[in-house]
Amino acid sequence: MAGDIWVMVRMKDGKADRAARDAMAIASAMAARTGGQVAAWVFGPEGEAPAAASEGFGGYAPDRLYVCPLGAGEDGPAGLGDALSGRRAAVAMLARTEVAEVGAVLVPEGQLALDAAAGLAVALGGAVVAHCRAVEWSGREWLYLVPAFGGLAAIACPGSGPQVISLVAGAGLVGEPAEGRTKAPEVIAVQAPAPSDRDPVVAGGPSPVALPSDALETARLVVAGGMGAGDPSGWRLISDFAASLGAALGATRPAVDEGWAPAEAMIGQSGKRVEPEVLISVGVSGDLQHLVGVGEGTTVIAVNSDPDAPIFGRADHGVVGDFRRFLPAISRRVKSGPADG
Amino acid sequence: MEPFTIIVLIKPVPDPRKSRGSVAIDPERKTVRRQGVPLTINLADRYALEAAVALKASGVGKVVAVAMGPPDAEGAAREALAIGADEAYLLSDRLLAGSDAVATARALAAACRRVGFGAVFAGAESSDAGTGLVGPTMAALLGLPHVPHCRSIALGDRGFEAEVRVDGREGRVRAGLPALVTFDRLDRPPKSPGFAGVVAARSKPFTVWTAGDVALRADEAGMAGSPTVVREVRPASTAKRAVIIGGDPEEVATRVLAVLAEKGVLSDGR
Amino acid sequence: MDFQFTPEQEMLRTAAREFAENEVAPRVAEMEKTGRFPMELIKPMGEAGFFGVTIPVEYGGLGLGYVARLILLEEIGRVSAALAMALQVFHLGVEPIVAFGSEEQKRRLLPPLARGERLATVAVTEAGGGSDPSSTKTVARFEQRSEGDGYVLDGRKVFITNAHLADVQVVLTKTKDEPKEFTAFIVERGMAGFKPGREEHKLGLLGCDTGEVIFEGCFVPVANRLGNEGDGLKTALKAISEAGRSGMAGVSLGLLRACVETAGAYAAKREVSGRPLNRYQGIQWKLADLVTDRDAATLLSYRACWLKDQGKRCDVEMATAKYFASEAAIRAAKLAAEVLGGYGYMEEFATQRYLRDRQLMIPSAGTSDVMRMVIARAATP
Repeated sequence: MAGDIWVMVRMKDGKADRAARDAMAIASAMAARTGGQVAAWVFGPEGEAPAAASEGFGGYAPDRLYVCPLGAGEDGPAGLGDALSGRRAAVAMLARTEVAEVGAVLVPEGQLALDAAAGLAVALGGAVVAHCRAVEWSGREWLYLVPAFGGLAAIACPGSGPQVISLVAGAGLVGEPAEGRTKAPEVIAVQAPAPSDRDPVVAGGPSPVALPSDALETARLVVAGGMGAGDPSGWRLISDFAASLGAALGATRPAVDEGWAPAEAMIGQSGKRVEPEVLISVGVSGDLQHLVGVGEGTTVIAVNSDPDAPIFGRADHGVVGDFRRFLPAISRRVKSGPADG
Repeated sequence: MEPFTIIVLIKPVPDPRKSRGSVAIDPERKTVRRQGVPLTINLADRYALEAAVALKASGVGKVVAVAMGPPDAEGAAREALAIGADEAYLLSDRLLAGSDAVATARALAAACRRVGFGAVFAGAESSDAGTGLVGPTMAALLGLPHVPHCRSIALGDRGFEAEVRVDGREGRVRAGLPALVTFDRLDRPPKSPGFAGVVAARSKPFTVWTAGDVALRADEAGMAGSPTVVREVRPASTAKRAVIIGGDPEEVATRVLAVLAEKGVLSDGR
Repeated sequence: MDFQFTPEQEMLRTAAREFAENEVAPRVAEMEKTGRFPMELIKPMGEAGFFGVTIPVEYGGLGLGYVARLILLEEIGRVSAALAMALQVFHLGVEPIVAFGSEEQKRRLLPPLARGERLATVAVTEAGGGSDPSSTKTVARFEQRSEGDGYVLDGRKVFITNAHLADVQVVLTKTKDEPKEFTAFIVERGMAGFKPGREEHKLGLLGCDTGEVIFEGCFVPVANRLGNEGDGLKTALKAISEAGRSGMAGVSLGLLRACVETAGAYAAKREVSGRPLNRYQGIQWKLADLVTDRDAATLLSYRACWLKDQGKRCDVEMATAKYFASEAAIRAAKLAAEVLGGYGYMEEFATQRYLRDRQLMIPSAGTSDVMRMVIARAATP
């Protein structure tokens, strides 16, 4: 791999989101290997974007900062139009590839990034990797670690095209230090490509609204159930347990597939990402596809009858045994009040 | 509007009812082994198929299911016919084995061009790999607008109008034809084809295509055509990190509540 | 020999299972609470072709035959024995018309039955007995009328499944006071003097309608006589011995599967003294008996239905299937409830429902004693 490393930055509440710093650190390490530059791309309003973005980069400033006012002005900077403009983001980025060779493009989660990533990979004949949770230097090539098959697949892109990598929040860097960069970036304003009939548009009628912030994503205490629930009555027991603690109820994909929990409750790779103070995991085996949805900072208490379940590799506290024995005892004690606690 | 064809992409995935916990990895290709495993239609694709079949009432001429997979995937393609597709094609060729998202999208796009279409529908994500990349990549390859995470769809004079739920936002989106629409898994169960659907599927055309049939070269397909390669699959760490809380339920309850109290997550502040 | 289902039969099973799990399972609690048949399922079941599974294609059915019907009843019965029971009797009501109806009757009656727009049943049993038709008291008297000749029916039938739902009922009557002189009629809803009577309150199979049908001077035109005068017993017995017995075998198979799955799942996760139940030999023996009974009943039942679909004689095989499957269901519900211990008796576990549902497997379409009378003939040189 040779050339520049590009990072697509997602803005949240007027500044680069938390994932941007991790992505910039990874980009810095990759650029050190290629000898190329780091360029950050911000799709948002022009005015305060550069300063607001830079603030989120920590000590990893890019050499160049492209600012492209995409999405704004349609149905607001955080509206649906923003999520639908991935193709245009790719067109804007492609217009700059003449300037220098691009070795890798790091993009965050989200639809705009996914569509842009696919568009870039197709146009540049590159590779695209989704759900990358760590980037590792093998001594020979970059490996992208992606949860798959109950473990972690180490994916390489041996071809000459750019490597477009979609990073999950909190993605890490393994086997290579990232050097800080403090030089102020050159800010380059990029015009937004005009919409075309190849873009879906937000339809009239009632204006799209952001969904109410999800109880699961904001809860401080989450109970997550898995296949170990066994049957609907087991699931009900877990659900009652969550209610007794005032906890939000989440589920693994298999539990959702069984129809015990709605798709909205799914935690993991294709579901929600949660980061409560404490997560009590019940009958969850601990596949990575599920665990990537649980923040690093969360204290996990796992209840599982299989002492070898991988969940105990992630959990901070473990209870080995039948949840039917333990959950009611905990609920009872909560209900009986502080004196008993 | 002239009647047009909707292609629905069907991914044959290991049947979660019949193969839970027994998904095998091909040691050479490091991909999910689909040969010899009971396969079914990826759940999200079923909602795409149901939506396409429902649109036949509003002037869609034909619904064509296109799948890619081993010869075993014929059953999944026939399931699509039972659910209401009018024709089904299975792209099945050893050359295609080990395709990554880009190579898969390229092969399916080639099949779509051969079939001809006014729209392409697909599930937003598959239950086994779940990268969500194939839809956006195909939209880019075919130069189509991409309507992501569709929950329901209607056909009007100016094209599709879809309810979508994207990145925590919800709203209505319009896209002209041709377009590529990816569908979410919905909370209602998919509709059973019933015995009537299975019987009706008997007389519907089912065709197996090789890579050559869709004008795909060997270097564009399978592992050779995949810009990514899986170097290894590392098992999930089984190193014990958890401190095991032992004892009878009452003792366990005391210790668990102590952790919850320490983190301050109990509603009464204990 | 080939013990595999065809790919199409596997698809039928998947389709039936998805319907059962997605459409029927969410309604079981309501059926248990109210005892009412889930009327809202009639339309989707009709669209799915579940009513017309054995009706020939030329009369609007699917013409899939008895093996397909057994797959359907087994899968529906696995989720709700009550609904499978209702469905099996709808099919039973159709069979005499398919087998003995005139071309005119088939063209007129079968297409709406195949679509589920009209529902069917068979009314044979009377208070005096079911398996002994000689006690039949319902009479049909020939009468010449200016608008066309017909018969006037008087009598009462009891324990009729779908009594209040069926629009088309095949009714066994006596046309002469001679021991074997029976005649069957197709009585349709709306005919004056025909009405459903009392609704029975049952121990189990809640949500499956059972009750009386009453004929009070009910005039039935000659066009609705099934076959000739005197053909009645043959008509009724053939339907019951083939469609009825394989139908009850199907409901029993569903119950057997449900028992194996419920007991097996519970024994795998419930722990006693730190070990799952299924590692205890006492439980293993119960699970082994459950599986063996299920498999034996499965083989007997599919063989009988396969013979029927091949057009071969199957009376004894239908009887062995019905006898074994229904008795196995009785044993299975008991074993499954035992595996669950105290939970097995509690409302939130399905085993208590299986215990209540199982008992009707025996008397319907002939008791085990009657089955053994039929089977014993096979041992007679």
